[in-house]
Amino acid sequence: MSSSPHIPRDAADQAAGAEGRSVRREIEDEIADHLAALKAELGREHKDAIVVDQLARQRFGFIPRIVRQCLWIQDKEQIMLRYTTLALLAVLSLSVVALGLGAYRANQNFADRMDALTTQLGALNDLQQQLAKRQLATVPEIRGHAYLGKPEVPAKQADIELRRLPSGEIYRRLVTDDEGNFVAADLPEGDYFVLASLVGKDNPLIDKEPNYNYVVQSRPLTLARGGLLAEVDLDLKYGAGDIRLELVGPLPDSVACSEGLASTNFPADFPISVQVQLVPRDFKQELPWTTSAPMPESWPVRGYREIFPLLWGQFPPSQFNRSGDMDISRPFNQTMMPAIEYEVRAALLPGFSPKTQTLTIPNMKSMAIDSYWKRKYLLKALGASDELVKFRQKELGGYGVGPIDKISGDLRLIKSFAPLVVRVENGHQTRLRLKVPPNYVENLTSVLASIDLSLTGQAKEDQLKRVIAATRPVPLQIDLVE
Amino acid sequence: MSADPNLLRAALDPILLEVIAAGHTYGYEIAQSIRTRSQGAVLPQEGTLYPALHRLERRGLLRAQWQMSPEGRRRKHYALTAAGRRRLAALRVEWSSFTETVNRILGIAHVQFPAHTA
Repeated sequence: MSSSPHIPRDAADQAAGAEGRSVRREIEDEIADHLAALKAELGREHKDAIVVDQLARQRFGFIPRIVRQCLWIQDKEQIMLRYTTLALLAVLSLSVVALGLGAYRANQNFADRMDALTTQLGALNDLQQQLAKRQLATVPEIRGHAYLGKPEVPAKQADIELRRLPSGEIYRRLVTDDEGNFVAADLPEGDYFVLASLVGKDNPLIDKEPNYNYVVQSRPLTLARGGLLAEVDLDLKYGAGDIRLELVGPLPDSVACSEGLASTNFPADFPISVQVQLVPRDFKQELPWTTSAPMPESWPVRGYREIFPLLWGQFPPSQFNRSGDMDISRPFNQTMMPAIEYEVRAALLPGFSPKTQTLTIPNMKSMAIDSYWKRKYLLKALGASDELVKFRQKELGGYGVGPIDKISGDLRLIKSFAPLVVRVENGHQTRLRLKVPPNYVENLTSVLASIDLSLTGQAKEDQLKRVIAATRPVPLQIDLVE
Repeated sequence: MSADPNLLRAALDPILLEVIAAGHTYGYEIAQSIRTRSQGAVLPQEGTLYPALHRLERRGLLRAQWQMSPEGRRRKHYALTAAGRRRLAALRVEWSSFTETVNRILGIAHVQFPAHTA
């Protein structure tokens, strides 16, 4: 049994495996053998074992250092591998610790942020509830901005009409401010639309291009519960002007007519009124729609509204449910006319007393039929054949004053219109004094002499004769047709 | 007088190979042989020969074998391998040439100064 020296082991040795322990053991045995032999030699000279041991160790040298050197020489590959393994394990452990710490911090940070987000969402929810309560308490209103071509060019002092749907009646009139803005507040719930126009104001875009969209109409706006605010943008690219039309003499005594619905020069039982048409010169005088068929959006709706200021009726605007089309609320003082040229046509028409009137605008077809019957009377009065009398309504045109001379070469009917070209200047009022020419009376057959429907029998026949005699001094054989 | 450790480190390999070739096979015996031959000038601490022995063993110049000593201790005996013998022969030549060169240089440097005549 060898007496191994007491050699302290370092950490590397502690971590060494069985093979490492075997190498170390052999080194220790080898050194122990040397020390034992050395002590035996020295023991022959010294009696004290302690002294012998000290002398032996002194002659041998520092044992732990020698052991480490031998171990390194014999087992340096294993030692390096162990140190490397230990270093990698240490790095790995540190990495795991670092990752764990990072994950912990990330989780902590995420939790903190979630807490903050929860707090913010709660505050936002409270704010939204406050806003919702405030909005419910807001008075319904419509706001808008009118401009000229570009939103940054405001339409100052533009006229705004707020109208109800479906009636089309004007609910409120407004004027834009210097920024082109307007506000219609405190409105009842319902459907609205907005008309905007700029007449006689600082509109730099006027007279640049004929266009019928001189009055701008907004989309339908619904103010319902929960939707208390509507905003519209209106581009008033084009300007407009006004037309005031007066019909004055010289007129034949029988048809002299001033502004008004009925001629005072006629007997009370023979009323005659004047119809005035303002027609854009290139406007198609057709009526391809009815009140039951929607008007095509591409049609110049605005223009048409102004084209027919029908003076012969007092039809309440509420009967026009198409955005104020054919609005006769301003029958004779035409405003917002596009700044283009018009052909003014005037005709004398039979007036209808409220008592005998059968026409209603929502049923324009009935008016046309009525005109048809009038023409039929007239044609019969002029001696037309039955076939000719049986013309169709569309060949005459929709209204009673159409150019019916096209229907027959035998029966030459004269146009009832007295054309006159006027030009509407933007921002100006055009006062038009229409003078009916003298031969107008002679050619008044197309005026469609009215028959007072209240008359019957011989009285009606006599009346018709008087009409024909007054308007067309041509002897005619008159057959009264019921 | 003890040798400079740097000189001893350079001369230890041929010394160990020579002693082992002469028949001294284990550590204490090798140390005793060196001490006797050098008169105690080469190996002041005997433990220092073990790292050299293990290095020569790892290089394949020595072969080790464990045996039991007469006193009953495990004892490691060294012997020269063929490579060790070739290396010893080479070291003898190298060392001789080297020491001759060094001695020649040192001999030139050994100047006998004249006596002070002032």
